Amino acid sequence: MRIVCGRRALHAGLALLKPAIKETPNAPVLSHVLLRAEGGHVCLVANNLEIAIAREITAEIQEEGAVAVPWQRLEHLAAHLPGRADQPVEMEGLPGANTLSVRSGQSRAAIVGMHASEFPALPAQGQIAEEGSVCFSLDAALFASLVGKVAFAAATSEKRTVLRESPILRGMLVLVSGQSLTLAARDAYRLAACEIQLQEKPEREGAAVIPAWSAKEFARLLAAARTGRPVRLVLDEQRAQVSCHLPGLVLMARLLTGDYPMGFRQYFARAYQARVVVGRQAMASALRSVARIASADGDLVALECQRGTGAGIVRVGAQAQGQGEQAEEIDAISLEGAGCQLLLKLPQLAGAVAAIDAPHLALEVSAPQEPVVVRPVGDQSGANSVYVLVPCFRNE
Amino acid sequence: MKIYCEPGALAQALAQVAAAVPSRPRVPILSCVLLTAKGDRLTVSATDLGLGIACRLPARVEREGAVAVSFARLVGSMAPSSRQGTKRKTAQEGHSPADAVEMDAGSMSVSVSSGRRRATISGAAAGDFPVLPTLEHAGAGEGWTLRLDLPLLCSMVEQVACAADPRDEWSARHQPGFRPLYARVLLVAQGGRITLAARGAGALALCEGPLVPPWGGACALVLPAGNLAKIMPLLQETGEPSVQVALAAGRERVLFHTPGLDVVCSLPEQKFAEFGHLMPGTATSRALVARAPLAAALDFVDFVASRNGSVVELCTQPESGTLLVCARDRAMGEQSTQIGVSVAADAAGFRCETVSFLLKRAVEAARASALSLEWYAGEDTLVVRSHEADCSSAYAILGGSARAQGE
Repeated sequence: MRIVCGRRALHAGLALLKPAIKETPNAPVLSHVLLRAEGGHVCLVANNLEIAIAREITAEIQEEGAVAVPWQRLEHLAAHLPGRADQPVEMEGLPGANTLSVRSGQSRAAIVGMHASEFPALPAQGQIAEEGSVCFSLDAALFASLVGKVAFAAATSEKRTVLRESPILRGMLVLVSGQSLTLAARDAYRLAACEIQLQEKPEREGAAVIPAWSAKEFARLLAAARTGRPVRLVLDEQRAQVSCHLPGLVLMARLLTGDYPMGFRQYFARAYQARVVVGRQAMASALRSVARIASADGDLVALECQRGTGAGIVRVGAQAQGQGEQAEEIDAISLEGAGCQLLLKLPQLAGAVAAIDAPHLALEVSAPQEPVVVRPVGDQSGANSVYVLVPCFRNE
Repeated sequence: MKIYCEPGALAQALAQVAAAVPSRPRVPILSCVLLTAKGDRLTVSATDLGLGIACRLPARVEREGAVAVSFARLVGSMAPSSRQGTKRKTAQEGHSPADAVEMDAGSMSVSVSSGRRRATISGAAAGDFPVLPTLEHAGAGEGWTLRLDLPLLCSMVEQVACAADPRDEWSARHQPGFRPLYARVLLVAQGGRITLAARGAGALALCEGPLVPPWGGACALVLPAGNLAKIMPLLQETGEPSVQVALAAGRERVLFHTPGLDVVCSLPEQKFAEFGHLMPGTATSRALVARAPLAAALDFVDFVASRNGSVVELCTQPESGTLLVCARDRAMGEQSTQIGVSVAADAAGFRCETVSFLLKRAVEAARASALSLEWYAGEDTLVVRSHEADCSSAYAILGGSARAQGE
């Protein structure tokens, strides 16, 4: 293999692969990147068996071939090559030695790697079968934004033992029904769901659960790609894998298998006894200001909504024994029903507030012991989002 | 005590004293800051007993007094994003000028209000807080006071402190094989010169500059390098042209005084060992190299060098006017790059092995755009020299360091 590429393109391509590189791999090859030059394309591939990324870069191919080299070594080299950012980098795989020779300006390197055949195979873009899979397209930036609104609520592995959470809750549900796409994630005490209408009706309906970590990485990479083009998602239940396709970029991940609890749809439209609308930034600021003292006493935050000057006042407060108390008042934009008092876990409420991409948010209470519903008000994206939080109670 | 002050000024004062608030205090009072309202000023003080910082800010004082309150709680009540921002928070962030902070303190608690935000913070009696010396107390009796050019002092400290071990006193006591000498910086002021020196494992740094105005006295202070590295950025941020250094009569603490900020640093008991003999005599070969390309070349080979005991090979080639910087590792391969260099006409080229991270520290700390690399074959020592208009520095990577790293 012999190729010549730009230093900047090489570094950008390698940096994109980082999520698919294992720092402490089970097999040494999983910390490697595969350089494959064939068919007029140079492809950089990383695969840690949970998530795989393939990125094409612009390069002149002088001789086809493939070699796997340590990602960290090659990335550091590309980042620190002395000279101009657009300086050409000549890479040559030495036959039989599994060594990649790199030359650029006055700098030289010989990188000891592995044979390309030892690298876990990844299907080429044209070989991924859409038949029998759930496929749909939507704007890459929109998909990334939807994932950001939902995936944070998935259970994390650290919580599993204490909260009796099933491993399936570590995933994000992707549900295609008719022309609507629903994403949902939850743990034992909160839920986030988001619904949107697709522009084209998919041929098949179905559901799949993507690991939340993989979904977040997909969203990050798609947002960073900024192609302005739609991304094609293929949910292949038979092979238990999901793939995202953009020109020059393929992302793949394993799906989680199991029954995902589907009872969340009731919260998209639920009756309430009290509803208060407040500014999102004001609420976020108030939560930050009481965060320190709340963390000293179970991360609990008390919300007290009452009628006062204007539409009403929401008092956000926290207290800790021996340390004092802290409170901040924010103006309500509207208050329906009688006032209410809520005790919520601050990280859960703060997570929902941070995920909302709207100027205002509404807190809806149906009964004292019932979950509290948080909705964005004035969301321009066209998505119907809902966040459900389980309230807490103090032992008097 | 009852005062009103600007939230931005208070946030800045808290950010400045944060360096002296221990993360794990030995006694609970050390997790507090002392608020003292007197005249038209509020003084915020913090100490970890090794380092003390007192910051003065203007305030409207309605009732004078003093109280000690938890630093973390006070920051939490002030700053909206306090969870991330306790250490270095910009002054005006998150506050509107109209929201003056009102502090109303009883003997053991403070009520803080700003705009629509209210907080009640439990505190401690001001009398329990350790006393920090002031300029009047420090310079009295057998003590002395010296005025130093602040930007020059900061630059010199930066150039030598890189050779010292950054570990603190606690680490020094609990880590076997650690030599306290390695965590010290020696400051010598005499006549018209000021000299700073620091010694680390395998390295020695010296920096010399002018003392303006000249001083009739003579002094030698041994300062903890960790604390010095903490306080220099704080003093630099004040923007003052000079700092007054005062040694208290007991010779246990030294005070750095500027109009808005006092920093008190405890002096360790150990003396700084003689170091003059460590700096070698006559160079075998000398090469002049630009600082930026050398730093880039060291960064480039660092990944491979770090896998092989941080050993890097330097080889000057006088005929081509280049310096080859190369690192090798059996498992990873080889990485090398060449940079332009001018070799002294009376000297042959040299080829040496040295310690990559020590050389990187020396290059990063140097201020001059061109550095002189001097190789002393007899002592197996590489010296990096930099000359500026106001000060000159030398960083020696001592003999045998590369061999020791390689083993």
